[in-house]
Amino acid sequence: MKKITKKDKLNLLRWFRVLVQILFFIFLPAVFSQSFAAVKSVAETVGKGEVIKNNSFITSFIIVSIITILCGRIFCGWACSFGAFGDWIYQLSEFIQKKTKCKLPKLTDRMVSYLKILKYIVLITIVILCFMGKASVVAKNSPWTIFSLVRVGQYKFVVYIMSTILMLLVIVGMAIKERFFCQFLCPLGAIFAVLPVLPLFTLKRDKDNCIQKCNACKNNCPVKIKLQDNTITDGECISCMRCKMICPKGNIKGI
Amino acid sequence: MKSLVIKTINVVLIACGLLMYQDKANKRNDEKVAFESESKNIEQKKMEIEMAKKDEASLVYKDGSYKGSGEGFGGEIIVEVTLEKDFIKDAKIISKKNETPEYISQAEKILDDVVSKQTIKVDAVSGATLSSNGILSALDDAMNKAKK
Repeated sequence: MKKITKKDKLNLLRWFRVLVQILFFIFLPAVFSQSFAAVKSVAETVGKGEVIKNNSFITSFIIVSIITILCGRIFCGWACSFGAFGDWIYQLSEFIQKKTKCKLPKLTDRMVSYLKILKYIVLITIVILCFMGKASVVAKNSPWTIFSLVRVGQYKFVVYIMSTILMLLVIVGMAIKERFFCQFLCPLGAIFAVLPVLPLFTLKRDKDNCIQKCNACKNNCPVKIKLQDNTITDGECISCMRCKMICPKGNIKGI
Repeated sequence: MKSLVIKTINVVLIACGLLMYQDKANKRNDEKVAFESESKNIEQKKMEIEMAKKDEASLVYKDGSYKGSGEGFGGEIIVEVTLEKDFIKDAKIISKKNETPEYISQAEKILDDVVSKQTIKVDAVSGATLSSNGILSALDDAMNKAKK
Protein backbone atom coordinates (compact mmCIF):
# COMPACT_ATOMS: atom_id res chain seq x y z
CA MET A 1 0.00 0.00 0.00
CA LYS A 2 1.37 3.39 -0.96
CA LYS A 3 2.17 5.50 2.10
CA ILE A 4 0.03 8.62 2.41
CA THR A 5 2.57 11.44 2.43
CA LYS A 6 2.16 14.78 4.13
CA LYS A 7 1.78 16.33 0.69
CA ASP A 8 -1.18 14.05 -0.02
CA LYS A 9 -2.79 15.10 3.23
CA LEU A 10 -2.39 18.76 2.38
CA ASN A 11 -3.77 18.20 -1.12
CA LEU A 12 -6.73 16.48 0.47
CA LEU A 13 -7.17 19.55 2.72
CA ARG A 14 -7.26 21.76 -0.36
CA TRP A 15 -9.99 19.73 -2.04
CA PHE A 16 -11.88 19.35 1.23
CA ARG A 17 -12.03 23.12 1.55
CA VAL A 18 -13.34 23.46 -2.02
CA LEU A 19 -16.00 20.83 -1.23
CA VAL A 20 -17.08 22.62 1.96
CA GLN A 21 -17.32 25.92 0.07
CA ILE A 22 -19.46 24.29 -2.65
CA LEU A 23 -21.77 22.64 -0.09
CA PHE A 24 -22.33 25.90 1.76
CA PHE A 25 -22.92 27.70 -1.55
CA ILE A 26 -25.63 25.20 -2.51
CA PHE A 27 -27.33 24.53 0.83
CA LEU A 28 -26.61 27.46 3.17
CA PRO A 29 -25.89 30.42 0.91
CA ALA A 30 -27.49 33.12 3.02
CA VAL A 31 -25.75 32.70 6.38
CA PHE A 32 -23.58 35.78 5.84
CA SER A 33 -26.47 38.10 4.99
CA GLN A 34 -28.67 36.68 7.76
CA SER A 35 -25.91 37.16 10.33
CA PHE A 36 -25.35 40.73 9.22
CA ALA A 37 -29.12 41.38 9.16
CA ALA A 38 -28.91 40.92 12.96
CA VAL A 39 -26.53 43.87 13.24
CA LYS A 40 -28.80 46.01 11.05
CA SER A 41 -31.96 45.12 12.98
CA VAL A 42 -30.34 45.79 16.38
CA ALA A 43 -29.08 49.17 15.13
CA GLU A 44 -32.56 50.05 13.92
CA THR A 45 -34.24 48.86 17.13
CA VAL A 46 -31.88 50.93 19.30
CA GLY A 47 -32.46 53.91 16.99
CA LYS A 48 -36.19 53.63 17.61
CA GLY A 49 -35.75 53.17 21.36
CA GLU A 50 -37.54 49.82 21.35
CA VAL A 51 -36.74 46.62 23.20
CA ILE A 52 -34.27 44.38 21.33
CA LYS A 53 -36.20 41.22 20.48
CA ASN A 54 -34.48 37.91 19.80
CA ASN A 55 -34.89 36.61 16.25
CA SER A 56 -33.31 34.04 13.95
CA PHE A 57 -30.90 36.67 12.55
CA ILE A 58 -29.44 37.33 16.01
CA THR A 59 -29.10 33.59 16.69
CA SER A 60 -27.25 33.17 13.40
CA PHE A 61 -24.95 36.11 14.19
CA ILE A 62 -24.12 34.82 17.67
CA ILE A 63 -23.32 31.31 16.45
CA VAL A 64 -21.01 32.59 13.70
CA SER A 65 -19.37 35.05 16.12
CA ILE A 66 -18.68 32.30 18.66
CA ILE A 67 -17.11 30.18 15.93
CA THR A 68 -14.97 33.17 14.95
CA ILE A 69 -13.87 33.82 18.55
CA LEU A 70 -12.82 30.18 18.92
CA CYS A 71 -11.27 29.48 15.53
CA GLY A 72 -10.68 32.79 13.76
CA ARG A 73 -12.39 33.75 10.51
CA ILE A 74 -12.95 30.21 9.23
CA PHE A 75 -16.48 31.24 8.43
CA CYS A 76 -15.07 33.71 5.91
CA GLY A 77 -12.62 31.22 4.50
CA TRP A 78 -14.82 28.10 4.39
CA ALA A 79 -18.51 28.89 4.69
CA CYS A 80 -19.32 32.31 3.30
CA SER A 81 -20.86 31.82 -0.13
CA PHE A 82 -20.04 35.37 -1.19
CA GLY A 83 -16.37 34.74 -0.33
CA ALA A 84 -16.45 31.46 -2.24
CA PHE A 85 -17.97 33.29 -5.21
CA GLY A 86 -15.09 35.77 -5.04
CA ASP A 87 -12.53 32.95 -4.92
CA TRP A 88 -14.02 31.39 -8.04
CA ILE A 89 -14.14 34.72 -9.91
CA TYR A 90 -10.45 35.25 -9.09
CA GLN A 91 -9.49 31.75 -10.19
CA LEU A 92 -11.43 32.20 -13.42
CA SER A 93 -9.73 35.57 -13.99
CA GLU A 94 -6.25 34.06 -13.37
CA PHE A 95 -7.06 31.27 -15.82
CA ILE A 96 -8.24 33.70 -18.50
CA GLN A 97 -5.22 35.97 -17.94
CA LYS A 98 -2.91 33.00 -18.35
CA LYS A 99 -4.55 31.82 -21.54
CA THR A 100 -4.88 35.23 -23.18
CA LYS A 101 -1.47 36.31 -21.87
CA CYS A 102 -2.82 39.74 -20.91
CA LYS A 103 -2.46 40.81 -17.31
CA LEU A 104 -4.81 42.84 -15.16
CA PRO A 105 -3.24 45.50 -12.91
CA LYS A 106 -2.12 44.26 -9.50
CA LEU A 107 -2.55 46.06 -6.19
CA THR A 108 0.60 46.88 -4.20
CA ASP A 109 0.94 45.87 -0.56
CA ARG A 110 0.76 49.55 0.36
CA MET A 111 -2.59 49.99 -1.44
CA VAL A 112 -3.87 46.89 0.33
CA SER A 113 -2.92 48.24 3.75
CA TYR A 114 -4.89 51.44 3.11
CA LEU A 115 -7.87 49.85 1.35
CA LYS A 116 -8.55 47.37 4.12
CA ILE A 117 -9.64 50.24 6.37
CA LEU A 118 -12.55 50.91 3.98
CA LYS A 119 -14.59 48.00 5.35
CA TYR A 120 -14.74 49.64 8.77
CA ILE A 121 -16.09 52.79 7.15
CA VAL A 122 -18.70 50.69 5.28
CA LEU A 123 -19.71 49.01 8.56
CA ILE A 124 -20.05 52.29 10.48
CA THR A 125 -22.02 53.90 7.62
CA ILE A 126 -24.48 50.99 7.45
CA VAL A 127 -24.95 50.94 11.25
CA ILE A 128 -25.61 54.69 11.31
CA LEU A 129 -28.10 54.46 8.41
CA CYS A 130 -30.01 51.67 10.16
CA PHE A 131 -29.93 53.59 13.44
CA MET A 132 -31.58 56.50 11.63
CA GLY A 133 -34.23 54.16 10.26
CA LYS A 134 -32.91 54.17 6.70
CA ALA A 135 -32.29 50.45 6.32
CA SER A 136 -34.03 50.32 2.94
CA VAL A 137 -31.35 52.68 1.57
CA VAL A 138 -28.80 50.01 2.50
CA ALA A 139 -30.77 47.21 0.81
CA LYS A 140 -31.17 49.23 -2.38
CA ASN A 141 -27.44 49.97 -2.63
CA SER A 142 -25.97 46.60 -1.75
CA PRO A 143 -24.28 44.06 -4.02
CA TRP A 144 -25.53 41.39 -1.60
CA THR A 145 -29.09 42.15 -2.71
CA ILE A 146 -28.21 41.26 -6.31
CA PHE A 147 -26.27 38.16 -5.23
CA SER A 148 -29.23 36.91 -3.17
CA LEU A 149 -31.78 37.62 -5.89
CA VAL A 150 -29.79 35.91 -8.66
CA ARG A 151 -29.07 33.01 -6.30
CA VAL A 152 -32.82 32.26 -6.00
CA GLY A 153 -33.33 32.68 -9.72
CA GLN A 154 -34.92 36.14 -9.60
CA TYR A 155 -33.78 37.90 -12.74
CA LYS A 156 -35.72 41.10 -12.13
CA PHE A 157 -32.79 42.33 -10.06
CA VAL A 158 -32.03 44.94 -12.73
CA VAL A 159 -34.70 47.09 -11.05
CA TYR A 160 -32.09 47.81 -8.38
CA ILE A 161 -29.82 49.80 -10.66
CA MET A 162 -27.33 51.06 -8.07
CA SER A 163 -26.91 47.61 -6.51
CA THR A 164 -26.34 46.04 -9.92
CA ILE A 165 -23.65 48.60 -10.75
CA LEU A 166 -21.98 48.00 -7.38
CA MET A 167 -22.12 44.22 -7.89
CA LEU A 168 -20.45 44.57 -11.29
CA LEU A 169 -17.71 46.78 -9.80
CA VAL A 170 -17.21 44.25 -6.99
CA ILE A 171 -16.88 41.44 -9.55
CA VAL A 172 -14.19 43.44 -11.38
CA GLY A 173 -12.41 43.93 -8.04
CA MET A 174 -12.71 40.22 -7.29
CA ALA A 175 -11.01 39.49 -10.63
CA ILE A 176 -8.10 41.80 -9.81
CA LYS A 177 -7.42 40.96 -6.18
CA GLU A 178 -8.11 37.78 -4.31
CA ARG A 179 -10.75 38.24 -1.60
CA PHE A 180 -11.24 41.85 -2.73
CA PHE A 181 -14.68 42.22 -1.14
CA CYS A 182 -13.74 40.36 2.04
CA GLN A 183 -10.73 42.53 2.75
CA PHE A 184 -11.87 45.94 1.55
CA LEU A 185 -15.65 46.14 1.73
CA CYS A 186 -17.31 43.42 3.82
CA PRO A 187 -18.98 44.91 6.92
CA LEU A 188 -19.37 41.45 8.49
CA GLY A 189 -15.67 40.81 7.86
CA ALA A 190 -14.95 44.13 9.55
CA ILE A 191 -16.79 42.92 12.67
CA PHE A 192 -14.97 39.59 12.62
CA ALA A 193 -11.59 41.28 12.11
CA VAL A 194 -12.00 43.09 15.44
CA LEU A 195 -13.40 40.20 17.43
CA PRO A 196 -10.95 38.77 19.96
CA VAL A 197 -9.76 35.38 18.73
CA LEU A 198 -8.67 32.87 21.37
CA PRO A 199 -5.34 31.37 20.34
CA LEU A 200 -6.72 27.83 20.65
CA PHE A 201 -7.45 26.74 17.12
CA THR A 202 -5.69 29.40 15.07
CA LEU A 203 -2.83 28.66 12.68
CA LYS A 204 0.60 28.56 14.31
CA ARG A 205 4.01 28.75 12.72
CA ASP A 206 7.39 27.48 13.91
CA LYS A 207 9.47 30.43 12.71
CA ASP A 208 12.83 28.96 13.79
CA ASN A 209 12.39 26.09 11.39
CA CYS A 210 11.98 28.31 8.33
CA ILE A 211 14.23 28.23 5.29
CA GLN A 212 15.94 31.60 4.99
CA LYS A 213 14.28 34.00 2.56
CA CYS A 214 11.61 31.44 1.66
CA ASN A 215 8.47 33.59 2.15
CA ALA A 216 6.29 31.02 0.39
CA CYS A 217 3.56 31.53 2.99
CA LYS A 218 3.57 35.34 2.66
CA ASN A 219 3.62 35.24 -1.13
CA ASN A 220 0.63 32.92 -1.33
CA CYS A 221 -1.56 34.51 1.29
CA PRO A 222 -4.76 35.80 -0.35
CA VAL A 223 -5.09 38.60 2.18
CA LYS A 224 -1.38 39.51 2.29
CA ILE A 225 -0.70 39.06 6.00
CA LYS A 226 2.82 39.88 7.18
CA LEU A 227 3.17 36.50 8.94
CA GLN A 228 5.98 37.62 11.24
CA ASP A 229 5.02 36.07 14.57
CA ASN A 230 4.48 32.49 15.52
CA THR A 231 0.74 32.85 16.07
CA ILE A 232 -1.33 34.34 13.29
CA THR A 233 -3.35 36.98 15.12
CA ASP A 234 -4.00 39.36 12.22
CA GLY A 235 -7.72 40.04 11.93
CA GLU A 236 -7.43 39.66 8.16
CA CYS A 237 -6.60 35.94 8.29
CA ILE A 238 -9.49 33.91 6.87
CA SER A 239 -8.02 30.49 7.75
CA CYS A 240 -7.91 29.42 4.11
CA MET A 241 -4.84 27.39 5.16
CA ARG A 242 -2.99 28.00 1.94
CA CYS A 243 0.15 28.89 3.94
CA LYS A 244 -0.07 25.51 5.63
CA MET A 245 -0.49 23.75 2.28
CA ILE A 246 2.44 25.48 0.59
CA CYS A 247 5.09 25.49 3.35
CA PRO A 248 7.95 23.28 2.11
CA LYS A 249 8.84 22.32 5.68
CA GLY A 250 5.30 21.87 7.02
CA ASN A 251 5.94 24.53 9.66
CA ILE A 252 2.39 25.79 9.91
CA LYS A 253 0.08 23.83 12.14
CA GLY A 254 -3.28 24.42 13.68
CA ILE A 255 -6.94 23.39 13.72
CA MET B 1 -1.35 39.45 23.22
CA LYS B 2 -1.97 43.15 23.73
CA SER B 3 -4.32 43.31 20.74
CA LEU B 4 -6.30 40.36 22.10
CA VAL B 5 -6.82 42.22 25.38
CA ILE B 6 -7.92 45.40 23.60
CA LYS B 7 -10.35 43.48 21.38
CA THR B 8 -11.82 41.63 24.36
CA ILE B 9 -12.30 44.89 26.27
CA ASN B 10 -14.07 46.37 23.23
CA VAL B 11 -16.47 43.44 22.98
CA VAL B 12 -17.18 43.57 26.73
CA LEU B 13 -17.87 47.32 26.55
CA ILE B 14 -20.26 46.92 23.61
CA ALA B 15 -22.02 44.01 25.33
CA CYS B 16 -22.42 46.03 28.54
CA GLY B 17 -23.71 49.00 26.57
CA LEU B 18 -26.33 46.87 24.86
CA LEU B 19 -27.41 45.25 28.15
CA MET B 20 -27.83 48.65 29.82
CA TYR B 21 -29.83 49.88 26.83
CA GLN B 22 -32.01 46.75 26.91
CA ASP B 23 -32.69 47.25 30.61
CA LYS B 24 -33.81 50.84 30.03
CA ALA B 25 -35.88 49.89 26.98
CA ASN B 26 -37.59 47.09 28.94
CA LYS B 27 -38.59 49.49 31.71
CA ARG B 28 -39.97 51.96 29.18
CA ASN B 29 -41.78 49.13 27.43
CA ASP B 30 -43.39 47.87 30.64
CA GLU B 31 -44.82 51.33 31.26
CA LYS B 32 -45.95 51.51 27.65
CA VAL B 33 -47.68 48.10 27.79
CA ALA B 34 -49.61 49.01 30.94
CA PHE B 35 -50.76 52.27 29.38
CA GLU B 36 -51.60 50.58 26.08
CA SER B 37 -53.81 47.84 27.54
CA GLU B 38 -55.84 50.52 29.28
CA SER B 39 -56.22 52.57 26.14
CA LYS B 40 -56.91 49.44 24.09
CA ASN B 41 -60.07 48.82 26.12
CA ILE B 42 -61.13 52.40 25.56
CA GLU B 43 -60.35 52.13 21.83
CA GLN B 44 -62.32 48.88 21.54
CA LYS B 45 -65.38 50.49 23.08
CA LYS B 46 -64.94 53.54 20.86
CA MET B 47 -64.68 51.30 17.75
CA GLU B 48 -67.93 49.58 18.64
CA ILE B 49 -69.71 52.90 19.06
CA GLU B 50 -68.25 54.22 15.80
CA MET B 51 -69.23 51.07 13.90
CA ALA B 52 -72.80 51.34 15.10
CA LYS B 53 -72.87 55.00 14.06
CA LYS B 54 -71.41 54.59 10.58
CA ASP B 55 -73.57 55.37 7.67
CA GLU B 56 -73.35 52.79 4.86
CA ALA B 57 -72.95 55.54 2.26
CA SER B 58 -69.94 57.27 3.92
CA LEU B 59 -67.70 54.15 3.96
CA VAL B 60 -64.64 54.17 1.69
CA TYR B 61 -64.17 50.39 1.64
CA LYS B 62 -66.62 47.56 1.15
CA ASP B 63 -66.96 45.03 3.98
CA GLY B 64 -65.44 41.60 3.47
CA SER B 65 -62.17 39.79 2.85
CA TYR B 66 -59.97 40.87 -0.02
CA LYS B 67 -56.87 39.24 -1.46
CA GLY B 68 -53.94 41.24 -2.79
CA SER B 69 -50.63 40.24 -4.31
CA GLY B 70 -47.19 41.85 -4.31
CA GLU B 71 -43.65 41.10 -5.43
CA GLY B 72 -41.57 39.82 -2.53
CA PHE B 73 -37.97 38.61 -2.53
CA GLY B 74 -38.39 35.32 -4.37
CA GLY B 75 -41.77 35.71 -5.96
CA GLU B 76 -45.41 36.48 -5.33
CA ILE B 77 -46.81 37.09 -1.85
CA ILE B 78 -50.59 36.92 -1.43
CA VAL B 79 -52.29 38.50 1.60
CA GLU B 80 -55.90 38.64 2.74
CA VAL B 81 -57.35 41.69 4.45
CA THR B 82 -60.68 41.59 6.25
CA LEU B 83 -62.54 44.87 6.50
CA GLU B 84 -65.66 45.76 8.45
CA LYS B 85 -67.06 49.26 8.29
CA ASP B 86 -63.68 50.64 7.19
CA PHE B 87 -61.86 48.98 10.12
CA ILE B 88 -59.08 46.50 9.40
CA LYS B 89 -60.21 43.48 11.41
CA ASP B 90 -57.55 41.07 10.18
CA ALA B 91 -54.57 40.85 7.81
CA LYS B 92 -52.79 37.60 7.05
CA ILE B 93 -50.53 35.96 4.49
CA ILE B 94 -52.17 33.37 2.25
CA SER B 95 -49.20 32.48 0.05
CA LYS B 96 -45.45 33.07 0.35
CA LYS B 97 -44.06 30.38 -1.93
CA ASN B 98 -40.52 31.43 -2.71
CA GLU B 99 -39.70 33.53 0.33
CA THR B 100 -36.77 32.54 2.50
CA PRO B 101 -38.33 31.33 5.81
CA GLU B 102 -36.02 33.29 8.13
CA TYR B 103 -36.76 36.55 6.34
CA ILE B 104 -40.52 36.18 5.78
CA SER B 105 -41.06 35.23 9.44
CA GLN B 106 -39.47 38.56 10.42
CA ALA B 107 -41.45 40.49 7.80
CA GLU B 108 -44.80 38.97 8.88
CA LYS B 109 -44.63 41.06 12.02
CA ILE B 110 -45.81 43.94 9.85
CA LEU B 111 -49.30 42.40 9.84
CA ASP B 112 -49.66 42.81 13.63
CA ASP B 113 -48.71 46.47 13.23
CA VAL B 114 -51.28 46.94 10.45
CA VAL B 115 -54.16 45.75 12.64
CA SER B 116 -53.05 47.57 15.78
CA LYS B 117 -52.35 50.84 13.97
CA GLN B 118 -55.29 50.46 11.56
CA THR B 119 -53.16 51.52 8.55
CA ILE B 120 -51.17 49.81 5.82
CA LYS B 121 -48.58 52.60 5.90
CA VAL B 122 -46.21 50.86 8.31
CA ASP B 123 -42.41 50.52 8.19
CA ALA B 124 -40.61 47.63 6.56
CA VAL B 125 -38.65 45.31 8.88
CA SER B 126 -34.95 46.11 8.85
CA GLY B 127 -32.87 43.28 7.42
CA ALA B 128 -35.90 41.85 5.59
CA THR B 129 -36.61 44.84 3.39
CA LEU B 130 -37.56 43.07 0.17
CA SER B 131 -39.93 40.58 1.82
CA SER B 132 -41.46 43.45 3.83
CA ASN B 133 -42.02 45.56 0.72
CA GLY B 134 -43.67 42.56 -0.95
CA ILE B 135 -46.13 42.29 1.92
CA LEU B 136 -46.77 46.06 1.91
CA SER B 137 -47.51 46.17 -1.82
CA ALA B 138 -49.78 43.11 -1.48
CA LEU B 139 -51.69 44.91 1.30
CA ASP B 140 -52.01 48.00 -0.91
CA ASP B 141 -53.38 45.83 -3.72
CA ALA B 142 -55.94 44.25 -1.39
CA MET B 143 -57.11 47.62 -0.04
CA ASN B 144 -57.52 48.92 -3.58
CA LYS B 145 -59.74 45.97 -4.44
CA ALA B 146 -61.86 46.79 -1.39
CA LYS B 147 -62.56 50.36 -2.46
CA LYS B 148 -66.11 51.10 -3.36
